[in-house]
Amino acid sequence: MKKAINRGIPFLILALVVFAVATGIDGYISIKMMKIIDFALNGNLELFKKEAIEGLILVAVLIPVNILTSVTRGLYINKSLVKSKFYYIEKLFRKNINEFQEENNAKYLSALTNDMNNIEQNYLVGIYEVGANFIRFVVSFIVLITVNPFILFLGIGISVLSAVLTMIIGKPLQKHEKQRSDLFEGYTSYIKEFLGAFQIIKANNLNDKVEEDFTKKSRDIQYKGYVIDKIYTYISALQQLIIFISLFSIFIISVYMAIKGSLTAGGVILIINNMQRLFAPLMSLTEIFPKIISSKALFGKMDETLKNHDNHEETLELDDFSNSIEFKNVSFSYDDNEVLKNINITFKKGGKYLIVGPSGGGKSTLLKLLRKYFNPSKGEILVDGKDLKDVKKESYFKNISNVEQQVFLFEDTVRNNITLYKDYSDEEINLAIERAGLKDFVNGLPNGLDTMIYDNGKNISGGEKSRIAIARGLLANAKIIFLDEAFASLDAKVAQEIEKTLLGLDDVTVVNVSHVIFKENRDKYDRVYVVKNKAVV
Amino acid sequence: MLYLIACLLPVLDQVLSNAAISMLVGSIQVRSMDYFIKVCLVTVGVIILNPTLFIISRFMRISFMRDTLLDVRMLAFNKIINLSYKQFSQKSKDTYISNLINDINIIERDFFLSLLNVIFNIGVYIVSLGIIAYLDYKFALMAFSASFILFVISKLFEKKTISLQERVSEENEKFSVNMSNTFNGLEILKLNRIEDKFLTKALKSVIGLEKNKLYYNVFTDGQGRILDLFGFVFFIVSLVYLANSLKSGMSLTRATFLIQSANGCIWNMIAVFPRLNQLKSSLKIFDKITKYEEDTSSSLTKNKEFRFEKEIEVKNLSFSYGTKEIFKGISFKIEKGKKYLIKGPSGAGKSTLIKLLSMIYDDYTGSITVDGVDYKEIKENSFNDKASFIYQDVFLFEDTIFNNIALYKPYPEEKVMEAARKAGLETLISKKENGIYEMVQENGKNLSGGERQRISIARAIIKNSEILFVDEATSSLDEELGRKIEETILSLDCTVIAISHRYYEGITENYDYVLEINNGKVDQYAADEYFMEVAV
Repeated sequence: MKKAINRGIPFLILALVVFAVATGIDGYISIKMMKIIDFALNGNLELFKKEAIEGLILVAVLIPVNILTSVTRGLYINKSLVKSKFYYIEKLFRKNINEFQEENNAKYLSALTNDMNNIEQNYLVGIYEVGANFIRFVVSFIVLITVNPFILFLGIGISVLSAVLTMIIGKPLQKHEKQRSDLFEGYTSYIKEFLGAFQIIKANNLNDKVEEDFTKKSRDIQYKGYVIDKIYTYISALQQLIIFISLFSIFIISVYMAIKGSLTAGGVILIINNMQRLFAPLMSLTEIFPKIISSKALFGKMDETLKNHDNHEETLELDDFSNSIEFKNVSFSYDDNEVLKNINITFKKGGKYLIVGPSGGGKSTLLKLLRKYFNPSKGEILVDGKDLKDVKKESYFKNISNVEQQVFLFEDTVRNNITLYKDYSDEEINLAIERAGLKDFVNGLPNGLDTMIYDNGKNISGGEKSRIAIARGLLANAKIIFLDEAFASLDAKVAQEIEKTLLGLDDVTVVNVSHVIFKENRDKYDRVYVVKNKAVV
Repeated sequence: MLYLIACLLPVLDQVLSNAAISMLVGSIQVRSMDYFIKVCLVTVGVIILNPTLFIISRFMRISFMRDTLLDVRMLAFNKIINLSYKQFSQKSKDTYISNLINDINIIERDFFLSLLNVIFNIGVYIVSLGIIAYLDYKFALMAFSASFILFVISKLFEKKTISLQERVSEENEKFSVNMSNTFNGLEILKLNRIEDKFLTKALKSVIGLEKNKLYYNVFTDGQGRILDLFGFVFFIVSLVYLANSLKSGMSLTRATFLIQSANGCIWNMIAVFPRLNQLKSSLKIFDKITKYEEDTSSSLTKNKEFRFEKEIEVKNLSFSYGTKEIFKGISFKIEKGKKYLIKGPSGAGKSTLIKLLSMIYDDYTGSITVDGVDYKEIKENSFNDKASFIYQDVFLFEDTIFNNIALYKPYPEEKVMEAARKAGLETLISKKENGIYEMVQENGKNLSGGERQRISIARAIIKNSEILFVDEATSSLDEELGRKIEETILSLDCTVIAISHRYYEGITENYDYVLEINNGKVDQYAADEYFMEVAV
């Protein structure tokens, strides 16, 4: 993750260079102003006018330079963010299916939005600000050195001292912040709880009790916040006092020197205006660094989620499926939970298989093993004699097609949703549509196959979506078709028809995982496997 | 009111600091040591005054903030708790969580901070302008016109800024929705080996989103810098003007004070606009989370009692949620005392069926009658007294087990103990030091999943519920525990209507009927018949 973000560094350098130019011009104008004031006080009208006009010209030059500063700064952030988001999404897409599904999609989305925002505000902007503050410091340094080196070094010494003191004084605050953070966690989980139980609360007339509890928790948080604020007030006041004493002592010393003649009035005003620019960078560093560091912690967190833990090297290609898929003593466990034990079954090419069983009994796990989402914990799955574990996913997927229960439709034409961007002749497409029982649906569309589907197919019924999925599966002309509760949203009559069609396909292995069974078609299956209690019967 | 004064103290402080600096600079012109020392003493006074004023101002403000925020939290909470369940379920849980947490955080941070700054900015502006006018009204006119020009420029930028900001917000939403959809379908994409095409789509949308953010950032950033430059120009012009005045004999002190004040006008005018916008958007959020929404539910006369002696009959019921048709003319009967299991694929409407049977939704066509009385005429309270609900998550109060079962109703102790026993809580109670009066910790931390569910069951028992609705009670429990809980539920006397995707051999067959939802229709099967099919 870090490498991806750091690809924005060239733009950072560009932005800071432009900023340096802008700040440099700014500093030069500062010096001009000092001269303007002194000439004014001396009554030197000629030189006064000359300097004033030059100053105004410089300000005019600053306008485009400043705009360029904004543009380059924005560009730096833009490029860095784009590169990091690219990296994240790309890696996410490369994750193995089962590892991707281990986390809730919300987590990935949160990383792409909330976490990236955090990185933008704290890390990217923070690094820029560190660079900018450094440049500001250097320019002020140079400006002040032309006025009076003594004051300059005095100023640096005092500002370093105040920065250190400020940091030390701020320490006790951390303990209270932690306590408030804990209280806040309790408050948040309470809210989630009571929102989840809203119906129970209303049904049992518990409004008042819940209100009482909520009030108490809110009060605790606000009062803790108040205590923290009080302490913070004292600390802040002390910090301000230190800063004030530092600034004013420099002013007083400068004025004293001016009275004694080693400084001009213009010089004093210049010092007053630029002292802040010497101080401020140091002060803001104490704020920015913690932000940068905490943001960096996110990188590690993100990298973890992106890793593929199963890195078994796949070496074999599967060009064709000609024989069988054999489960040999296959066992599988999710962490400590054993779901399948010593399974020995065979799927022959061209055979039709029905897999049934109660929910949670292991049907879907069997299917996931067949689809290479997981590798078995024990035993092996042999496809045409090759260990499925060693077969490359890409190669295996070429030979299978899937029909699933939750159909994913994307914003494109009906045609593309069925062909999935692969090339097929019109006859092939029409055949698949007919077999899937979609003919009426397609004929009823305003643009036929070229009608666009929007919003994940909001206006398409569940049954029609299922049939689109089936059309996809049929069209792919794969040797093996896996059906995963494909008939769940279909009318009995339609489902039966489609099942008959599938069972009539020559040379195609059909594995149907379903809890919907039609008595008439049952006998057409070569075998019916019941998955129950970790075993297959 | 007090708050306003508290915010004005920093203004006073600013003016005094300016005065001190002016006197210091002026003493260069005067060149007398005595005068210089006098000025130094004044400066010391100002230095001490600054933190003092700061502390006073802040203390006045933070207690006001604390109390106001508490009120805001309670207002937001009351808005939610007073919703009917139907209104409540129209928005996702996350929306409410965001209201009670994120939105209040924004108010806490942005509202008060921007309010303080706005008052400060306006205060300094007015006082500075006043001082200038008192000392040199020609200059005051100059300062005023400059600030007016600034005002106009800011206004010109404002419209574009807002539209760019809205654009970014829209793009953000679109991006989130797109990515979410793509993630949902990634499994299919990978299986069909078309994930690369979608990867390209995703990357394109990232570029689009960031581009819009870039425009917005450059525009606001550039705008700020241009305004700064304008202020700078004014500064130089003022210098020129004051240089002339110095020639004509104005004191350096006065000139410096005028320049400082002029700066005060300009910079505060520049700073106030973004703050005002922030203030406005915080107020909008405040409105959003505290304003009551209209209750558009029906207001039929509900005056009958809920009496369930024989059966609940659903006749030709059709129900749609939004534009999605969920049930198309379903009919079945629920007999008293029998146990029903609802089955069906996800999204088919299992939870919706329970909500219809428990009077949560009432905008259906067709009829639901209980012992001949139409559901729509029955008092909700009467129904709630006789019905209980068991969900996957159990809501527990930080109170005794006793109160968590009795739910603060005045049941006698023996009744509570009996309910606990029937729900299988004896082992738990005998384990605990205070027995049934043991305190349940925050969110039931000190109880296991199974124990929490048993408290849920005890609540149903003690109420003498006639009808028990169960929605995935055992989904988060392991096999063995789930079996026991399911067994307990099936052993109760009342009518049970349950959703469960788990199958416990030997236990699940003890349901009387299975209601299977398929494509908007409901089929009723005798349980033994249904489970025979599955067992082949």
